[in-house]
Amino acid sequence: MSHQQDIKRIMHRRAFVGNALRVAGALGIGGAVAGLTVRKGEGRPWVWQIDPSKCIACGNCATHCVLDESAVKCTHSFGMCGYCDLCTGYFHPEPIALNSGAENQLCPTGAIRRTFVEDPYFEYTIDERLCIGCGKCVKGCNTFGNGSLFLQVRHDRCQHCNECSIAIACPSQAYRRVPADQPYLLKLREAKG
Amino acid sequence: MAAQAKPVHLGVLIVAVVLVAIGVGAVAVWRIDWLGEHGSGLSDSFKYDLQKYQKIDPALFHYHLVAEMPIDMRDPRAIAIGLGDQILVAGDKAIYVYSPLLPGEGTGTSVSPRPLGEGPGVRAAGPTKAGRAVDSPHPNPLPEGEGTTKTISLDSEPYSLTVGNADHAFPGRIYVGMWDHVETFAPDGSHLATWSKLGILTSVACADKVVFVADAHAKVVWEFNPDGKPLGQIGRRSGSRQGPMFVVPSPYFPIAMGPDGLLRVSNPGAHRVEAFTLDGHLELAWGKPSERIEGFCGCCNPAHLAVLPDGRIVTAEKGIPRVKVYSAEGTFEGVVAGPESLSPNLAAATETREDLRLHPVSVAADSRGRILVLDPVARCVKIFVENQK
Amino acid sequence: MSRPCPLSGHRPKVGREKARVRVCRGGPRRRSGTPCLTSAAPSVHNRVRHGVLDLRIAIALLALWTLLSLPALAVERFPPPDFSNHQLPVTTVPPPQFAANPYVDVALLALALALASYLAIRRRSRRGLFLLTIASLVWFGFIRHGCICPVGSIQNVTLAIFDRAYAVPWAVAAFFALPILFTLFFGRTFCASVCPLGAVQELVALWPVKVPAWVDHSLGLLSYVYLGLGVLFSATGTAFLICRYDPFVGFFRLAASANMLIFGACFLVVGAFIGRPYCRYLCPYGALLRLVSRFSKWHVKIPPDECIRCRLCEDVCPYGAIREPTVATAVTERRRGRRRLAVLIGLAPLWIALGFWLGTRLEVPLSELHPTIRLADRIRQEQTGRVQGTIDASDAFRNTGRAPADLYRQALALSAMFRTAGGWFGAWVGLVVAAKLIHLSIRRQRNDYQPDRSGCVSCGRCFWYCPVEQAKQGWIQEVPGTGPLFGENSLPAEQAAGRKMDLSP
Repeated sequence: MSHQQDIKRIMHRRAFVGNALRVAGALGIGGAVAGLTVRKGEGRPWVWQIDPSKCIACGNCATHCVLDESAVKCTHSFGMCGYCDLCTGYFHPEPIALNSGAENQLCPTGAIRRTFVEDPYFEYTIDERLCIGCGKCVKGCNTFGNGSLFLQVRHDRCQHCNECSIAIACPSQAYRRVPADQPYLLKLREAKG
Repeated sequence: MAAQAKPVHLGVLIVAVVLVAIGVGAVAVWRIDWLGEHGSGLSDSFKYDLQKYQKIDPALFHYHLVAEMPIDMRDPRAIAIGLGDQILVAGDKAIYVYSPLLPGEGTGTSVSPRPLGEGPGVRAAGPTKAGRAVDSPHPNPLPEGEGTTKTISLDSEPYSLTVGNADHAFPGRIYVGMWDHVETFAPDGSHLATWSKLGILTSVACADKVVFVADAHAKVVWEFNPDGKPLGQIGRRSGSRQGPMFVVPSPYFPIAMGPDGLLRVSNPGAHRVEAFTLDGHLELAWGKPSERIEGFCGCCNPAHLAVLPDGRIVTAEKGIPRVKVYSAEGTFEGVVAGPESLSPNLAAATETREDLRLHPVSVAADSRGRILVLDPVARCVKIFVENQK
Repeated sequence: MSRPCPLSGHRPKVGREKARVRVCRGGPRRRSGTPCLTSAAPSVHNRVRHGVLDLRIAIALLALWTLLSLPALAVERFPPPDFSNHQLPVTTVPPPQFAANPYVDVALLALALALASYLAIRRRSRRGLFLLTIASLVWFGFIRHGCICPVGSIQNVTLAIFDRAYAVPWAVAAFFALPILFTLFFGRTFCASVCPLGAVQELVALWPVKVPAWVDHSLGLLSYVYLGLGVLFSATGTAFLICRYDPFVGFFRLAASANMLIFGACFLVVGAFIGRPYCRYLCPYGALLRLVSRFSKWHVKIPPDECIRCRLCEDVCPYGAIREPTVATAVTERRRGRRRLAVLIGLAPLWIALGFWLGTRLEVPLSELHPTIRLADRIRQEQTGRVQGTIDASDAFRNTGRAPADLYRQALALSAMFRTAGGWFGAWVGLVVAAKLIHLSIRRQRNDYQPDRSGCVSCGRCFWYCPVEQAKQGWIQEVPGTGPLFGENSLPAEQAAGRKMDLSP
């Protein structure tokens, strides 16, 4: 009888120690993780973005995204644009005529729209539904023009993968995590007056 | 017998299926190009390719490279020829003044021949080290002895530069275009004046009594007297159509003064070089947009101008880096330097490096007709001499 | 003045405004003049408020300001044309679209975990677990696109430990910690019916076969190796390997490269015959939970009462997680076993040391994954003429104008880091092997058929098929057969097979 009571007591003690250890472990893990979260910043979410000053418009963005249609699109900083008649981001290097004929356009999907503003200026806008993010216009604009066309991850399309597939394939390491409340790295935040 | 054999077959089948699936899965994963090493996989129609236009017919080269003069600057931006063919290079908040090039081949003056490839070049106590003669059968024209004669320090970054020539009211006076104003220096390097603020200055040039300042923001060329008193402007339309005559979509708006008394102004948005009299009348205009060698490529070209002593015009283009010579009336004559003789990554560099965007190659010509090309990526001055006929 | 400073991101506090205004008013506030460095001012200003010192600080700040504003001038943008009557369009910046609000997400995870634990341990409802599995698959898989999941969150937490610049988002941290905490008390109920990766495999485990024990044990080590690799590469900031090779996330997103979809499909094919191959042999989070689950307070039990040793549970478990009762061994055997155990424990440090040494040798293959080291290799090869031509990466590097020597220095430092990291990885693998050997040599006593606490994912099949349970629930009249029935099933094979497919009681 007393032997059984001993066993019972031992079991009870064992269970108590076990529970204490479990609670301590749980508190430890929870505390450590919470500490990591608050150590710097408020534990805000991150999203992926392209640093346009590093981007070389290699074309990997168009094909390495996990989405069938890449979340990367050409973005236009209108405040930087020269509004050229001969836009090297819009026209083929040797256009037959400076009009919106398909044979003159650089964009393989016809995603850039050209509208007349006033002599001699034209405005160029991106049709995101057609843009695949190949960066061909970005190269054309950067090579000769002001560089107002550049690639950005469009966050209404991005899946926010934990590891961005395009970032792995980016030859210039232009992808980086940015805070989700400042999700774009635009070339020019405000047009200078 | 058959009943016993069946489970064995089933087991083998399952093992086989599992092994095949593992194999297929392994191969599928193995073949993924995670690192993008095989490129984007896009067809050629999605690639921006200027290769075709970067090849230049060798017969069109009328000049050849004879020497390179390294510039010990992080960020050289402008070059000008001073009195007595001194070479001035601006950048890094300073102006370096180099002694003139030795009289070289193709100038009618004989030089003492030196062994090839080991020309002493600029051996200076100043900022430069040894220059390098390019492997060519011509004597090295690099200046001998002390290279840098003096250094003028500036308060901020210079963007353009010119020196009053012998005909100027103050020969040897140095006019430096900063971001938005002009600073003037006496030939000995002492500071003279800081002119009032303008827009975004891209180029300065001077005639005998007038100093021209190209302003890419206002899209006009301002005229000043040598002391900074405004005289007028070139490029403002009068009459029914107001507004600027020049189309300047980006900060490339060069000017140069010719010996014929006409100011050459690049109208970069129109891909034209225009010649104005000193009172602002458009005398002639030439040039057409084309990626082909005789035209001005891409957008906003020519990006820099110089005038040879005989009045021919030297143009420098960005995008496809090339330097060409035109007659004073605009007939294409020949090529000085193409993408191959200029820094190989110049075109690529302007794509990504913002600090280089504002200063592509700039050119200058000395009194012997040699063309000096400042290559900001290679950080050197490349010296080209005309081929002998 | 109250504009947020773009460099520091701080909005200057109003109370300190006055001092700053005084500093800046004298300054050349033209063009991009955003008084960034004023964020450096407050601490100084608190100490010195008046007099000459104040002036000196103002001058110093002015000088610093001029210095900082110069690069800003250099990249000053060219203005657009002065249109007579045209409004410039605004560049659209659509905000990030997350599949769910993080609060909802974490709450749902906690709820699912609690429900799974309740269903597995208290309610003992296989049907409930199954329905929860499907619900989790739909929500955590197809609606939230399986990202971010606790499996991948290991890497975020690791990166946050090693990279001072990276703060793990709190929702991700919660995703990492919650399943571990639940496992500490209830066993792997997360794996049972919360994890979408487990769920998809649970559904395809149609014709499970028994994997030989030695294969099962050796392949089981893989997940610890994979965990080690995942931690190594995220700690060095190289890659999130676990996410990269996630076989099923492509299905959840309904978009992935063809090869990844084939990879996932292959896993499903294998999973039809070998239950949960990813969970058992690869999943690094599963490896963590296996360790934790050993010490769980509660765990699913197979028979509610006395085991009749019908072996149905063992037969029905697709994951080979049922351990049979032990048989008594001879004293000599036990003694030999003890000696073996002592030797293995003694050898453990040797294993670890050997692993460390071998791990340091892995420096080159491991570091190949790091983009900087790869780039440095390429540049060196191009410079020495070992390869012809350039690639995008080397072109991009040259465009930056950085000196190759600088890159090589960085690569060398990284290499050294990889040598150390490889050593620790090797030591971890050595430890895992040693622990496995020791674990296999420990003799345990079991009287009943019991789930292996680490291997069991609490799917509930075993108690669902247990005749004792069925009798208790009143689904069958009485427990068929009594007493230990070694060697044969108490139910006819057809009946057992029929029940396997049929989930309704």
